[in-house]
Amino acid sequence: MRPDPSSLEDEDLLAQFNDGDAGAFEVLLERYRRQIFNFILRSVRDRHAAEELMQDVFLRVVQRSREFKGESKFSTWLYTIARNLCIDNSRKMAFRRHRSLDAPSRGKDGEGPSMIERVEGRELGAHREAVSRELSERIASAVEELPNEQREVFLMRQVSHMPFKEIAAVVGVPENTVKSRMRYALERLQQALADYQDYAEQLG
Amino acid sequence: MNCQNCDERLLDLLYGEIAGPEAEEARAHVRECASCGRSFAQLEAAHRLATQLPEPEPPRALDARILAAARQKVGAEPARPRAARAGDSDTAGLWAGILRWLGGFAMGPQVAMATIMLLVVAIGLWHLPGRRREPTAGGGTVVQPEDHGEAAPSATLEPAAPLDLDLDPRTGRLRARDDEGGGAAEQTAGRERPRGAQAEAPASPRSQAGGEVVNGPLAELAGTRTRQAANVPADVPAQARAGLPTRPAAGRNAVPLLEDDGDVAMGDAVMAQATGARQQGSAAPQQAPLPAPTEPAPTSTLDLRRTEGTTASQAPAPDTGAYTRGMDYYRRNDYAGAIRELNRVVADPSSGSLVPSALHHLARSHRSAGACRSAVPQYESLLRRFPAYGDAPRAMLELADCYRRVGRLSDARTMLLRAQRYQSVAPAAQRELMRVDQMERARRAPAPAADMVESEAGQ
Repeated sequence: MRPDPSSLEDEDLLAQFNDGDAGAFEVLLERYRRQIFNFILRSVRDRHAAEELMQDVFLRVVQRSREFKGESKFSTWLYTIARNLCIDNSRKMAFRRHRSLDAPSRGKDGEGPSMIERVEGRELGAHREAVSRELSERIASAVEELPNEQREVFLMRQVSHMPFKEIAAVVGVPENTVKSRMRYALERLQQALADYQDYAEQLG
Repeated sequence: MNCQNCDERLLDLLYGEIAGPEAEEARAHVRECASCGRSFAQLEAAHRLATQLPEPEPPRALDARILAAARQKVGAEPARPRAARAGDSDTAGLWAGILRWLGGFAMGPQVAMATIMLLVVAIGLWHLPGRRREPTAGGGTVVQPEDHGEAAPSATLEPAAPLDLDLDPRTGRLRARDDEGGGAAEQTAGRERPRGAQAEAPASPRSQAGGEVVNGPLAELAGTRTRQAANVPADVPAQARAGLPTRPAAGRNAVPLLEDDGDVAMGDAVMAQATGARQQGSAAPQQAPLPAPTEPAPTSTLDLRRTEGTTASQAPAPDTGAYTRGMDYYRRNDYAGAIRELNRVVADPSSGSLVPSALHHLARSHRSAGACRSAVPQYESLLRRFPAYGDAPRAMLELADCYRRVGRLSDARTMLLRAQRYQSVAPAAQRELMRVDQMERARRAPAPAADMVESEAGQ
């Protein structure tokens, strides 16, 4: 009797898929679909492109499943594929960036009222909800504006919960470099979201 | 745990990648140290904000298409032959892949350009003197080298000359060695040059004297031809070949050969590094001048290429056990253990190439353990005995710090002036110099009268 697929490791699931069990692949897809989609979405900054790329990533896994030799973790392999597709996509799109260079950037100094000004006169509960929504947008924007090398590390660590060592394997740089990039990313985010510092403290 | 160690672990702590005593130690330091505590608080705040990043769900319709492809695949190859016909299918797959790949480029301008270039080259080759195309008696080669006295063969057809290269110490790049008066050995790997006279030319005096050995890693970089040019005997141990650039005590200074890790190719040098083997000192220690302002090579790779008063091939294979244990202790901040093991390495005459690094980490262990007075003689010994040590600039900074801590401000100042000649540590050395200057001024200045202090404070 075969074990419950959901209890298997990724690598075992892929081996089962290679042995003809499509259900094993379904479990893998379920495990990674959201992570990969968000990794791609924040990398390419376009939902439609992200959907296409996510599909491409998993189709590539289907096509090349036998090329996975188990020398690395499945997630390392999967993210390497996703990252490469994102890089290819960004090269293609380089000449037609949808975001105009002279468009006003969000989150810069001097733009709009301060958080304190926005807080004044509002009822706290409604305010928290509004701030939370606004914060989500600002964070997404700040993440998308990170330099590529910082953003990919940030997304893999923060969103996909990958250990630094594994991220280093995907990106192909030493672990210390990954940590430096992560630190820069966090520092940049903190600067970009300085207005929300008090809110962040409440989150803790 | 000191601040540096703690700082390196802040992210691990934040994301739970360390646990147990290590995490406890880091947390304790963060609690006690204001600076590290502030850094951690900032990272933590950014991390908390980052958790608010929305993570939208991808449309389920995508899953359906992906799963359809997966089912199609397992349906299409349920009974894939694993042994019997694997070769056929793999071959067919290979050809199909090549055709697909070619198809993707079929109309591409790159292919058109490449085709034109190939045609041009082919036509050029075809129009070479007719006798070059005549088949030889052996029939194996299309082009035969010219005999003596006849027109020389086209340069494009002559077997390539050995890479007669050396490293420019100023740039760390390869350069032609023709200005140094002596071609290296003229043999190429596995074949001789067609000119008999050249093929039989004696090895260069430098090579014969054994004092000059061309850079092993560069030989690796340039391939076997360079290794032949370097006249490195095949039976030289890999580690010795990695540490090749032993130079005569006179005639050349001890300027480090490379400045950039990026110039080091993989090969024996890297292997030697992996085993912790380190070669030190290109010239006899007493005769070697202080490193010129040229940056010494980083320790991680380049001190591998220096030997201490001996040629690489003569260097005994050091016992790396104590060294490895010592370094492990050092990395785990167990300085007592590190001092014990590294002292053994330094005292062991067979340690040879490991001594500089061991001495440096011994000094660091003393310093990290707060025993600057004990660290000072170790640093001084390191810099005196191994002036071309790759991490010498950093060691100078550390020694200056120890001098300052034990109150030897004048020595600290001298050492910082020496360190600031190295680009990699110049900014830090200058900062430290300012600090030492301030301390010296404060020491020289008479204690201000109490009323003066108050009046200054009042202003």
